[in-house]
Amino acid sequence: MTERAAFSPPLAKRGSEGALVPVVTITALIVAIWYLAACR
Amino acid sequence: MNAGLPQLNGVQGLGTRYAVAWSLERPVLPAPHQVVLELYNSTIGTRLFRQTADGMVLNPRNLLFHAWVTLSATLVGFIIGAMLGIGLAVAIIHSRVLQKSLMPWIIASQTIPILAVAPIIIVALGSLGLTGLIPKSVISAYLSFFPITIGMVKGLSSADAMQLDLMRTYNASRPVTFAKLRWPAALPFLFASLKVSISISLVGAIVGELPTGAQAGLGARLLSGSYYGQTVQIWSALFMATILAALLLALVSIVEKLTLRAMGGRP
Repeated sequence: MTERAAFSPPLAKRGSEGALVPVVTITALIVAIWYLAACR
Repeated sequence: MNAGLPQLNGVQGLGTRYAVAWSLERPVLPAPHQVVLELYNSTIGTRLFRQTADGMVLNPRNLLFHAWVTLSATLVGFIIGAMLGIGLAVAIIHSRVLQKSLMPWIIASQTIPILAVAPIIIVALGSLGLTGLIPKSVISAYLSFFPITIGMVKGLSSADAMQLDLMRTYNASRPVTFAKLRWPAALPFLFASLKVSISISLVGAIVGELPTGAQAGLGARLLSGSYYGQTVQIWSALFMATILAALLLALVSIVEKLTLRAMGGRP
């Protein structure tokens, strides 16, 4: 272990794995509203 | 939004109406698939290079050519803006007189709408023989230096008072204090500012293409699209600008991660 690594605080695990569902949902919502607006 | 168009008059049935509204040639608001299709056709579906008497050149029918023209002005403007922003911030934190005299002007410079300033800059630089990339980059730099100046003034002043005192007890000179303490403390602020300013640079480059009636660039595509009522072309240019901004932002984020990791900070 390097000196720097020894003094570094433990890295918090980033929660990117749970981001897919909200991103897909919001994108789908925007696309749906866009399609509806295009035929109004 | 397309309901008022004559093509939809007398169309019966919801399904038929939707089908017609989503496949109009010149809609007021194109459907998402029309924009994606136009984006595909004008990038992958069109040859990137064409043969001329001078040899192979980028094809102006390809949207990537226009994206490259805007990107080059964005990058030059961003580099000028970043250097100017950092330079001003360094001057401001070292001199109270400069802080008092420069800050009001820096803030005032951003209260003027860029759409009003852009033609002035282009005409003024044009009279000096500077056309093409330079005026667009200047507009881009004019917009992008501001967040960097503000962020770096805050960042360079963010060093802890105890640490500054410690540097004084070491009899460290101003340049040493700057290099060893102020600059490393300012880096997180710098990258936050760079992320804001690179997006603004892109906006500046596009705005710089509008008043001249430029032949190339995403701004030129927006302008020609609005002249000829080609809303699909306008939307595809907007999407391309968004993709460019996302790529530039990702690039800054990667550089930030690498820099902070090299400094021993949290990635």
